[in-house]
Formats: sequence, C-alpha cells, structure tokens
Amino acid sequence: MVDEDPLERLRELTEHGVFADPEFAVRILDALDDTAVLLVDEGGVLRYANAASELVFGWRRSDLVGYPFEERLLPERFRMGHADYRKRFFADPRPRPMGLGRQLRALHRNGSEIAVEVSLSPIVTGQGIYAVAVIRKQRVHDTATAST
Amino acid sequence: MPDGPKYLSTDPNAGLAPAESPKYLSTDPNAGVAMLMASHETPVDKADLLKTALSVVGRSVGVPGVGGGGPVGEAAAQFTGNPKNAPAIAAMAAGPVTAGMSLPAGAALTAAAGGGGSVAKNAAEYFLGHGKPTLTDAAEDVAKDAAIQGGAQLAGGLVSKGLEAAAPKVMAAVLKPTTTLRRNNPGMDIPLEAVKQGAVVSKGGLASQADKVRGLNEAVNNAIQASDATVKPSVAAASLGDLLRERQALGPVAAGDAAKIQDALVNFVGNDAPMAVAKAQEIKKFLGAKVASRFGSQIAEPVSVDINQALRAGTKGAIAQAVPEVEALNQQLSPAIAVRKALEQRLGTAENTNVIPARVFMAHNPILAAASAVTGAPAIASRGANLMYRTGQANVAPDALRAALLAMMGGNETVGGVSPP
Repeated sequence: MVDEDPLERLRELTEHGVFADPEFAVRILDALDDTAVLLVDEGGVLRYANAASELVFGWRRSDLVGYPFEERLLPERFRMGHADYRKRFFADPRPRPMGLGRQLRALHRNGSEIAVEVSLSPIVTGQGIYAVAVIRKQRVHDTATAST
Repeated sequence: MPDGPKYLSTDPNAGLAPAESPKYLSTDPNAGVAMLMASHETPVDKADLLKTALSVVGRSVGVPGVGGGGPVGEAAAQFTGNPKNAPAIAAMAAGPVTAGMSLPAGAALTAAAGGGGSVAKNAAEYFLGHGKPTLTDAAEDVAKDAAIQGGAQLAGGLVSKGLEAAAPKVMAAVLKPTTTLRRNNPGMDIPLEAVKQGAVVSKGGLASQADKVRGLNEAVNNAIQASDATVKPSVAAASLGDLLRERQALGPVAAGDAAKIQDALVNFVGNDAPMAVAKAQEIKKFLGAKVASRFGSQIAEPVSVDINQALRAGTKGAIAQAVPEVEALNQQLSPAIAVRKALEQRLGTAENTNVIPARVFMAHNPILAAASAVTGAPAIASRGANLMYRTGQANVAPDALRAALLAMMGGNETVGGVSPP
C-alpha cells in the first residue's frame, strides 16, 4: 500500500523547510558536531542531551539524562547558589545569553573545567516549562580575549 | 501473500534486543525521541552475541545452515577469524536491528551485504573487539549506516538531492543576503556558496570566514611572489579598450569620456614592456583602493572611476592568465568574500544570533519543542543547513539525517516504488 508519493513528500519538505518537521529538527540537533543542546526541567534534571553533549562534556548521554545538571555539569564551586538562579529563570522565563562579560565554566567528566558560551531559552509546553541550553566550547582565541 | 524480499522479518522477536531496538527509520514522531533517550548499557558476551546474530540472520534472512547449534559456532569462528567477512557481518548485525522496520531498512541489508565501507568498519570494529562496548550500540551504528547506504541506493539519490536542495533554502532564510549583495555578485548563488563553505551565522562564524578570506589572499600573494611570470600592459589594458569602444559607440555625447579613456590607455600601455606579476599585483591593489575610496562620494569625473575599475579588472585577469594557480584561488576567493560580506550584513542586523527564540508549544513533546525552537536560532539553523548539504553531497554519510529524511519521504510502506512483501 502506498500512503503518499515520496516525491511529493520530498517537495513539501524542501519547500516548507525541513526544520518545520520536529523529528527532523531533532536529527539536526543530534548531527551537530560541536554544539551541545540540553533540556532541563524546573527541578534542574536533564531531560535531553544531544549527541554532541558527549563530545563537549565527556559523559555518555545515558549518564546525563535523568541526572541533575548542576551535579553533572556545574563546577562544584558554583553549585551552591545556582538553584536560586534556576528558580529565578523559571519564575521569569525569557531567552537570554548567559555570562555576558564574564567567563562561563562547565565541568567535564574528567573533572576539568571548560570555558563555554551558553544561550538559554524557556520552552513552554503542555507538560510544563523547560529550559533549553545551547552550549559551545569557546574557541581558543576567544578564551584568550575574554581573559585579557 | 506474494513473495517478497526475505530479509524483511516482521517478527518483533527477531531482534536481539527488541525493546531497545533503535527506530531510526520510523516515522512515529516519538520514536526518534525514544531512541534518543534510550540507554544501552547492558554488557553482552561477544561470542554469544555473534551466535545470536547469526541465529537471527538464519531466521530472518534464511541463510542455509545457520540458525543454531553447531553450525552457529562454526560460522561464528569463521566470521570472526576473517576481517574480510566484515560486510557480511554488517548485514547480519543490521538484521536484528532493522527487523520489523520499514522497507528501506530491510533493503539496506542488501546494500550492506555488498560491502559498504563504514558499515563494514563499524561491524568489524565491534566484532573484532575494538568498537562500541555493547552490541546495541554497535548494531545501532551498523544499522544506521546500512540504512543510509541501502536507503540512498533504493531511493535512487532522491534523498541526497532533497538534502542538497533544501540546504541553501534553509541558509537563505537565515542569511537573508541583501539585494545589493546579489547585484554585486551576478550569477552567484550566495546561500549555496555559504553552505558549500560551511558558513555559520554567528560572530565566530564571521571570524572563521574572515580568516578564510585572509588565507586565500595570502595564498594569492604568495603564488604571485613566487612566480617569475610577466604581464604585458596591453593585455591588462584590454578591458580599457572595451570601455573605450563602448563610449565611442555613444557618439559625441561621450566624446570627452572617450578622449580620457584613450589617454589612460596610451599612458598605461606605454612601450608595452612586460612587468613582473608582483608589480602588476601592486598596480591592481592601488587601482582597487582608488576605486573603493571614490564609491559613494561626489565625483567630478565619473569616468575616472570607470577607467580605474576597468584597469583593475583587466590587470587581475592578466595576472590570473600569467599564473594559473592564481586563477584557481580567485575562483575560491570571490565567493568567500561574498559570503563574508553576507555574514557581516546579517550580523549587523541580527540582535544576537545565538539566542533561541522563545516559543510556546502547548501539549507538545518538550524535546520536539526544544528541537524546533533551537533550530530557529540563526547560528544553529545555519549549522543545520551545512550538515544537510554535506550529508547530501557525501556518497556515504554516517549520520542520521539521510535516514531521517528517507523515513519521512517514504513512510513505512514504500520508497522508490518498491513495495514490501
């Protein structure tokens, strides 16, 4: 049985934008090779991590999803006050770049700290509010500039 | 029931780990997410796995003499002992994973059995002890690669063409090249050039593009400095001759311009003594700077700009003619500059290309919602466009994009006019 002409489907996808298909958008996120995308719920638990998260942080996705992101990805010295930041973000959810004018650090699985740039945005769904974070390692010369 | 391909098992128990089998080719919107969220942690004994894989292949493909007991052990020993069997192993490993899935996945097995490079590599690495820690992980990769290769073959390149065609459209929507930029680069498809060059609409992306342009300029200069070729002024001034004829054709109204162009031509050519290409390059840069400084300002003699522009273009052409390496570099340089300018213009108007647009998705899976939102940010969307283009270009692309698009194109029923049994 043929449900749909594949050529017609292809035409629709290319004309209306493949990113309009959420499943394809998920594949795009998974195919990114240098950008980690994380989904965090109001309780601070990681609900999704794309494949590049493994490259950026050194953790397998299965060791990220279901765990508190503060425990996994935040250097210990920043953990204390971070729950308050998180609560404030969810109380007034709006998109924002993080750490303007200062160096942001994330924790790698091997215990080292990595310089990162982070964009944060709320996602409001029928299942609640989530924070989606797009995280990239800073380039070497960006890091040098930021530290001078 | 009509006879159909035997590699398509519909037995849900045919897989090694049916509950964890990745659904790379499912069109169920939740399937991809389930796959993404799945954990594959169970360590498995490799010998047992291979036996099981062979057994499953025996059941689902109908390989004679394979299906359990002694022959399985013998086959396992035979296959693992010989890396040349990797393609066959790949097909076998893919079998359990794709069992019960759509036709492209099943058809992939035939392609994999034919010996695809990355499929074979993945399978060989796992089965020979250098690969992923669990069979499910390895089989995921194998099935994914096999599906991509087999699916792409089955769809007759439609998927590749689809991705290639969609990529510049996505980039165009993000990059938004201005009319002026398009006019200044006639015949150039700037979004297509951007995906070809992997341009990213972000500050970092602009810095990379600027580095690329600088590198190409340096290469041009190095090639010129290293060359002992010469350029005849009359060759460089050929375009000035064209300009002169154009103004002469206008008659008395352009007589003043024609006289000035003729003077410039005579002065430039002189005794037509050949000059080193390095000298010609200096002249070209000087003329370029003069032209750039006059654009947008009140000019008493517009023809002087035309003269300098024509001489610059003619000199550039003469240099490229004298040093073929420069010609090749120029062909890369022009689109690289156009893309850099497009990025400069876009970043000048975009507030922050990294900020993800705020979106509300009522009654929507949060992961799919996040994916939709994130791919709306220019920095991510442009990366996505580049990935699509690269995937479309590659003959064998070890990623999920082609498989995803294939699944979306073909549903679970048919692709390329081939029906399942």
